[in-house]
Amino acid sequence: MTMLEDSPAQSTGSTAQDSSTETKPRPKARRPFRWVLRGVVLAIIGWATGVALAIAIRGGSPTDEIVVIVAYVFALIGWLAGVGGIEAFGRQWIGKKPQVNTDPSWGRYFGFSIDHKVIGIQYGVTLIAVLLIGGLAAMIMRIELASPGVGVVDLDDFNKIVSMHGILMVAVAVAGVLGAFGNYVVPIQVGAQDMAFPRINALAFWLLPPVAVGLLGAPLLGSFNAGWTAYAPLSVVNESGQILFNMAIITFGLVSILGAINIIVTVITMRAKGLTWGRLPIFTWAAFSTSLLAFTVTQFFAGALVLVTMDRVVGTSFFAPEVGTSLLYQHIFWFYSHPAVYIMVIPGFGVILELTTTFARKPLFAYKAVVAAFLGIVGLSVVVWAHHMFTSGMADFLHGPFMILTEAISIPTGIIFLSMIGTLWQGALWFRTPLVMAFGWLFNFLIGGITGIFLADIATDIHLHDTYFVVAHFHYTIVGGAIFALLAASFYWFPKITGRMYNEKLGTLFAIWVTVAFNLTFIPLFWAGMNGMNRRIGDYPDAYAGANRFASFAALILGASFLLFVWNMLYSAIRGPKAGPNPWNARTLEWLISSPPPTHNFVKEPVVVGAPYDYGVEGSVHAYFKDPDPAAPPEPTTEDVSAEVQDEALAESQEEVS
Amino acid sequence: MTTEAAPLDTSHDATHEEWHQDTSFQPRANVLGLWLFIISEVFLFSAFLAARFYTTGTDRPDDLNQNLALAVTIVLLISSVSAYLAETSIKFNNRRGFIISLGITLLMGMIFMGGVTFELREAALHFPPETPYGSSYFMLIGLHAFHVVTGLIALLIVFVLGVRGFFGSTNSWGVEGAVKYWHFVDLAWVFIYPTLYLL
Amino acid sequence: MTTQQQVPIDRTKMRAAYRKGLWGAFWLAVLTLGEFLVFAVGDGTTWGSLALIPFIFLKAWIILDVFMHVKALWSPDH
Ligand code: HEM
Ligand SMILES: [Cu+2]
Repeated sequence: MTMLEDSPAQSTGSTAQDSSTETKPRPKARRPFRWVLRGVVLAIIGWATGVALAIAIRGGSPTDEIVVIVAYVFALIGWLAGVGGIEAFGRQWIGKKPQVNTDPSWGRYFGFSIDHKVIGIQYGVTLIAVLLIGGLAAMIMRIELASPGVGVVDLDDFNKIVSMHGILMVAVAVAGVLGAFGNYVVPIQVGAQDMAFPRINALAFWLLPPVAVGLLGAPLLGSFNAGWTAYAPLSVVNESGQILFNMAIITFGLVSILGAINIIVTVITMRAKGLTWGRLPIFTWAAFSTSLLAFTVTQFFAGALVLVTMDRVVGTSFFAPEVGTSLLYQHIFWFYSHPAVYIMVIPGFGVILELTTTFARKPLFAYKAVVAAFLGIVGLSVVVWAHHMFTSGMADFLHGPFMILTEAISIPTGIIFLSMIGTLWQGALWFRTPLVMAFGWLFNFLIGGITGIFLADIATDIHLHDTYFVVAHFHYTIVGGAIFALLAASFYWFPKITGRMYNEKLGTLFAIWVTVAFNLTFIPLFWAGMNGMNRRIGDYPDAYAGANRFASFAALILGASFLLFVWNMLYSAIRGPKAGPNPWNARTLEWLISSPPPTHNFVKEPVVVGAPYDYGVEGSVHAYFKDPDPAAPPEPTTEDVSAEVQDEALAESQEEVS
Repeated sequence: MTTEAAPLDTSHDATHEEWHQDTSFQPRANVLGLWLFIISEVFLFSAFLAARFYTTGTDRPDDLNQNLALAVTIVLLISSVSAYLAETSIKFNNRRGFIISLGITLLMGMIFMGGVTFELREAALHFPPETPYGSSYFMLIGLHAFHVVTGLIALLIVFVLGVRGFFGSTNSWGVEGAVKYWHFVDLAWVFIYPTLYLL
Repeated sequence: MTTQQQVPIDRTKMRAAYRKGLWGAFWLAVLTLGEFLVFAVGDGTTWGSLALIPFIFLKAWIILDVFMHVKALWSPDH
């Protein structure tokens, strides 16, 4: 029985580890989709109930916005209840012990599992899928933009596709590294057996599919065309798809907030013995700093969208041109969305520094300064938002201070660059795919950072605002900074997560291919932007035809590279050679346990005694594993659990947690 | 490339000595997590308060129902004290005091909601949501009412469990959590009430 | 169902805790009325609005300290 226990808080016995050893037969999945199916059924019932209820109370049709809102809320509750919320939370509210899914087969990825490793993989796979869908939208846009004039999509549809692409990609960038690797790696790096709130962690993940469905379902209600920024007043008057966008993004905010709180509390309260703040791995520091931002400012995006929703359905007039002011929207929105770019990129910094030190075989250069820089960015990033509003007509006296504060952020960002370069400097570079990706990252983010200065400068920004210069800049930072880090992290931790090695040749080929194709796609757009080509329009004057044709061609090559990535990941996860526990010879805790890690991460207690990155320092040790205290009474053994009992347990695959 | 001997722990065999992390962190984690959630909510409320000042400055119409507002403020205050008494009672294992105080909290919470509903109806006549002040009013009262309702649901669950004998001095986190959230709802009102009525 | 231990109630400590809460409530009530008074006198004038600020923050601090035990966050033995 206990072998299925998944709660770190209350495991009664010992377990065999889920490990890569081939000697154990893989458990068979039994009806693995029943939880998701139950969720879908309850969601549909919830939607119908909501529609019926709202119409009964105030009449109208099922596509009225207020009806859609009520229906969405009911459907969301139904979905959460169905996928496992009833067992994990509902039971507790009526005084019973909660239960969670502890299916040991691959079916656990489709249930309400509270294992942070399962949840990390769930995030990773979901978000990569969203990335590919968003990429498809990008391909359609680039095909439309390949030549001047209206081609494959008309101008109104183009706006909708831009908006869809933008918001999907922003979601991936915000939640990608933090959701997938923050969940998978952080608890292990701090020597914990799970997150502080495993059930809330699962809840946060299961809120994510409704976000994707809500956004991708918006075309049923006419889609949304106000961009990912959803600027009012357009977002108040456009088609009803905007309501689904608002609901989905408010839900997404909840995902971010719950996930961030979990990471903060885990890092504060669950660190292993001896793991002082000064010994925390840099990726954990990055995830922690990011979470500090995410759990606070995210409320502002939700708040802005609540106001938009109220203007639409309650009849308030915040953004009505005569009474209200759309500047209000921009202030609230950017108070979240500027920090959001750091929510996207600080975890990326963490990944890149983590693997730079591993593959340079040198201690991380200026560790303390990097930590200070992370925290400095967190502090500064909430006081620069209005640099997005230099042309918006806000009060003149605000321009100067916001320009200067913005440029001040380049100091901490520069420190991170220096740390990376200092670590690489005279290192014994070991060129594996993650390091190649990291070099691509370095190049891209350098361009992204430098072009950012022109946008922070009022004089140049007034010319460049809302042109393709901006588009190129933020792709260099978001794709170059966050998505490249996500890809690098996928390679770096792949052997740990799957227990197998990806194909190194294909990996390196992909890393070079994606870097080159990405640069070919976006470099010409700087030129187009400087010469005045507007963003978010499906048509343009003939003068920009050359640059656009080139960019579209390169974009298709860029898109194709992802097929190689997906193939490498999928094939290697199943057929790749065994990787062993520590293929990179790295020092942080996750590399000191088997690949994939056992169910509870650590079989013996980890004790940290030294710095994490003292590569090449004679006799240095980061952590060791303590042998159990012989004086402690032995816990009951489960070695004699008979096959039938195990089978029964499998069939149940539900276990009580405290 | 330098190689260090990393101390590996890759044992796969089931041993009865498997380590289990000490669970003593959990109470601290619970309290910290709740506080972080409350801080997060503070940001949402500040966004809305900022919106009120941004759109309407410190303007306020003359036909606000001041007496009713003061009355519901006092009602909410009473509910907060009794929530405090309920939490204290259960920590000292005084079950009777716990149930009675929590019952009073629930009652006061519902009276507050009743008052607010009445106020909103009046407001819709005097300064409908289409007006600038009306926008702020409906936004802030609506946001707060939403939190009152969720707080009441949490308290109700705790109340029912309490009546069935669930909590005690060693098992009071459920009470503590719900009550803390309720105090936060009161705290928000401390800012919203003067913002809308008294400036 | 959780089993309740039969811990004897420490009545003196309990009364002290109750009293603390009731005092907090008393001051909150006084401040609320004071606030209302300021409003009645100052009614929308600038100084009237400014005078409300100390009332608001005092009330907030009482709720945080007395009712929500915020100090327990940094002194766990509270
Ligand atoms: C395959 C690579 C990609 C290509 C070819 C591409 C192309 C484009 C194009 C053509 C636009 C429209 C620009 C405009 O008219 O204003 C756009 C917008 C945007 N893209 Fe991408 N994109 C790619 C990947 C990404 C990724 C990975 C992200 C983020 C993680 C991203 C984030 C955005 C955002 C936020 C917008 C703005 C949407 C808006 O204006 O509302 N893109 N992209
Ligand atoms: Cu910004």
